[in-house]
Amino acid sequence: MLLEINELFVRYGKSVMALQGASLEVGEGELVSLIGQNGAGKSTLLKSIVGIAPVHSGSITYDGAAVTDKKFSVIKNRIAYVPEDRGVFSSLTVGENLRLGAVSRKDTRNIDADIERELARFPILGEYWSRGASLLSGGEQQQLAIARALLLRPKLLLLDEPTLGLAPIIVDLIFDVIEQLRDEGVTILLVEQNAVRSIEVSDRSYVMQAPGKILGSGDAKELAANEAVVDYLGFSPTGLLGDSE
Amino acid sequence: MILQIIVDMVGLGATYALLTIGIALLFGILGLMNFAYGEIIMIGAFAMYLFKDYPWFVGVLAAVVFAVVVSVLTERLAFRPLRNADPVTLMIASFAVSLALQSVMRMTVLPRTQGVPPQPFLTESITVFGIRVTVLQIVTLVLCGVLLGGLALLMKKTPLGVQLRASAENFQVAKSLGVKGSFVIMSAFAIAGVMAAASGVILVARQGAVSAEMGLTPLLIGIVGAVVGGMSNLKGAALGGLLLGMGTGLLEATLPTDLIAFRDAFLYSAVMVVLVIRPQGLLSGTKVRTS
Amino acid sequence: MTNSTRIRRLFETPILLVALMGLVALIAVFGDPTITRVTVQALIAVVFVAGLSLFSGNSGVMSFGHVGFMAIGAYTTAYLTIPVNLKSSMFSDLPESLGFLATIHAPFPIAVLVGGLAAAVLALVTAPIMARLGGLQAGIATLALLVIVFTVLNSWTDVTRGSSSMIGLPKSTTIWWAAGIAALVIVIAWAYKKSRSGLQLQASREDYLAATASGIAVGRHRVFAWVLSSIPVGFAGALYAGFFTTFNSQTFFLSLTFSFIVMIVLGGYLSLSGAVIGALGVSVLQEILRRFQDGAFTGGISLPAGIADLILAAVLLFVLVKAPLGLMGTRELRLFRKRSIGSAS
Repeated sequence: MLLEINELFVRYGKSVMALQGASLEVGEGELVSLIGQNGAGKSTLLKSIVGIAPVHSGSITYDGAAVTDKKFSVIKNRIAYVPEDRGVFSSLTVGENLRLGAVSRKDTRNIDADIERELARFPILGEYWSRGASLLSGGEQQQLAIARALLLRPKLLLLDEPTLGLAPIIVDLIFDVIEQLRDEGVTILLVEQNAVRSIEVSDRSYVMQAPGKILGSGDAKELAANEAVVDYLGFSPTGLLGDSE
Repeated sequence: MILQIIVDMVGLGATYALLTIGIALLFGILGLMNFAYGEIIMIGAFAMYLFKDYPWFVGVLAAVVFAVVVSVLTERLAFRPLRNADPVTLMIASFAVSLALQSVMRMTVLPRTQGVPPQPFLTESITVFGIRVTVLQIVTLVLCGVLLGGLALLMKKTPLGVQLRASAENFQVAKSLGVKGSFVIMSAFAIAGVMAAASGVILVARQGAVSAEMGLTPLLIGIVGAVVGGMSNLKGAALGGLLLGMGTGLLEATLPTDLIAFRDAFLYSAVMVVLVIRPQGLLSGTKVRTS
Repeated sequence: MTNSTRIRRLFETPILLVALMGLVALIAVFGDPTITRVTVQALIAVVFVAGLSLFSGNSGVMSFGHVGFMAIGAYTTAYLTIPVNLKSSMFSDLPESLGFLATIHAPFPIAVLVGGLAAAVLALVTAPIMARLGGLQAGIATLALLVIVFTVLNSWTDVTRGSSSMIGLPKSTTIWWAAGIAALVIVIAWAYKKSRSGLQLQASREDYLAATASGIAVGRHRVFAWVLSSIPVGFAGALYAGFFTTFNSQTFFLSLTFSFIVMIVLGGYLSLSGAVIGALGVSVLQEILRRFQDGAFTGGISLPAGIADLILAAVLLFVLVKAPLGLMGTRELRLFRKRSIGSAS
């Protein structure tokens, strides 16, 4: 497994336990989604992988190395993270934002080609290249954030609620891109509230309930067989199999 | 007469803008209101005194080296261990750094005020269209223009500049993209050091003396300018400094003589009012980072 | 918690601190004149820092401007206690509207009281600003206040003599005055800390948004604490004036501010006990450093001037890095620590 999370506890301050013994695995080349309601602890799990949430106990290993180790470098291991608020720099232009995604790369000669490729994937970014990023709409900012993360040439891409609050047509676009990336071989851990679409595109999904407990996991069929999951989601994911295939 | 006042105002404004930029740069990136900035200026000025018997460019070069080295050292020794502290703690820490630098200088090489005779050519003046301009004023204007322009270019056109701007806006996200936080912060301190050195050089040329306490006045000016212009926005801060300088020049030219001594009281009252009405600064559109 | 433990918990800390003041005063009574001088200075520092802590400790907002209040207290005392005949020659250029200053006179206790009230007037004028600002903005605003007070004192030479010294004050501050007022201020600060207003202000310090959301008028409580805290600080200025009998505009500026900040940060600015202990401890440390500097401990070889400041700065930096909340943190001085914690909540 590329990413293995075992019995993870995360605690904010003295009393707030955001994750209570969450375990999760992502294999190389897999598209795995983590779904659950607001406040379930999904974002916290992503943050603990990139080292911005205080891990209390449990382990996170990436490619055999302990992520919680001080020497572990998220960047050198090519883990890209798109935060929920997208983290677009509004005082920079679209182009400057994009280039910043490649700031740590040593193979400077290939960067321009990679930028071309992302501009082909997200044409709107090329159009707005020298505009201030603050002028972009929410959907455009999300595209910029994903494109910027891809310029790291990530092995593992962590997406935190990429479709939150976006128009349906943009949501479609983002899910298309996610599938496209999986086909290109990028390993993806997707955090979503949109359970239907996530289970549909993912190889496997985990369902998380507050405060940070995994209720169940698997593909649509396995999830459907799990009573707790069906109960929590409010629908049975089996129907999705027939719809999408 | 009016033209003469305007020329003086612009000269003072450019000098103040330089002071403000050094403060605002570090504030934007670290949330640090650096009270030790005045001492960095003093170190630069001290270099001018140390090399006063050499050609002037030796002193200027030494001023830059001294100020940059000390500025970077304060980061390494005092501010880095406090990287995650809140702005008020950082401000108190910078008080301590300021006092420490002052006392070290007073103990060792600068126990009392020392005179630095200005370069003779600086005091000469030329008259253009009936306006008397000293060479010092021209040099000041050119120096400030070159430095502010150079900084603007650096921030706009170079990768380092982009990283500095990104870090100032959101340090956490910049780091998660692979921007090297320590390198960016160190660069910011180095740039602030260059600005401080230039301010020190100008100050020495104007006052003709250096002392361990000389940093206080320029520091307070820099802070006021930054507050007025908008602390986390360099363009706003530079404009704030310029306006402050021009305002000060205007006050000096127009205030009745017995009120000039109270100039600072008026200025700081204005600062308090600005803080309440527009905490993000008069000239800045963005919200200021408060914690 | 039983009734008696509650009462004990309420009075334990102030009684201990007041007893500490008594102890310090006794040391002075039986000590040589140098020890008496250091002790009085330390007690004046306690008055100041306890007053500052009344505002900063409860609101969580650091003030760099309180030395301005202290200056007001000191100058007020000067006007009220310098003998009238001396005053008329010292202030020959008083503006007509302030001519009464040359003739008024009051005994020292009244001067102390008026000094505190005069400081409160300045606090009241600036209160609307403090009500609206927090964090760094408040820090800069309070510093601006200090600069304004300094500029006025330094430049209005007809009235304040500027950087020439105020002279001719009778030496009025005795060890008992200093210890008594220190004890009084400790009791006031403690009473405020335990009052409704104090508790609500502390709630806003912990979580500003939650406090305002639950209907606490943070601004009003801050204003109250700001004005209330200026009074003891004015007293401290009066005591200072009555003890040193001479001072000038430079006295009440950045370096004095810095010493007080070292005291309150070192002890722990969120705790009244911390503030008091910090004031006493740093006063003693400063005296030791000063003697060091004068060569008392190095066989007569005097060290370069400035080393005392350098060490003080280093101590402050060390504390900020290692224990940002100071020695006491949020704890208070208690006799029965274990049992108190066991019976809490």
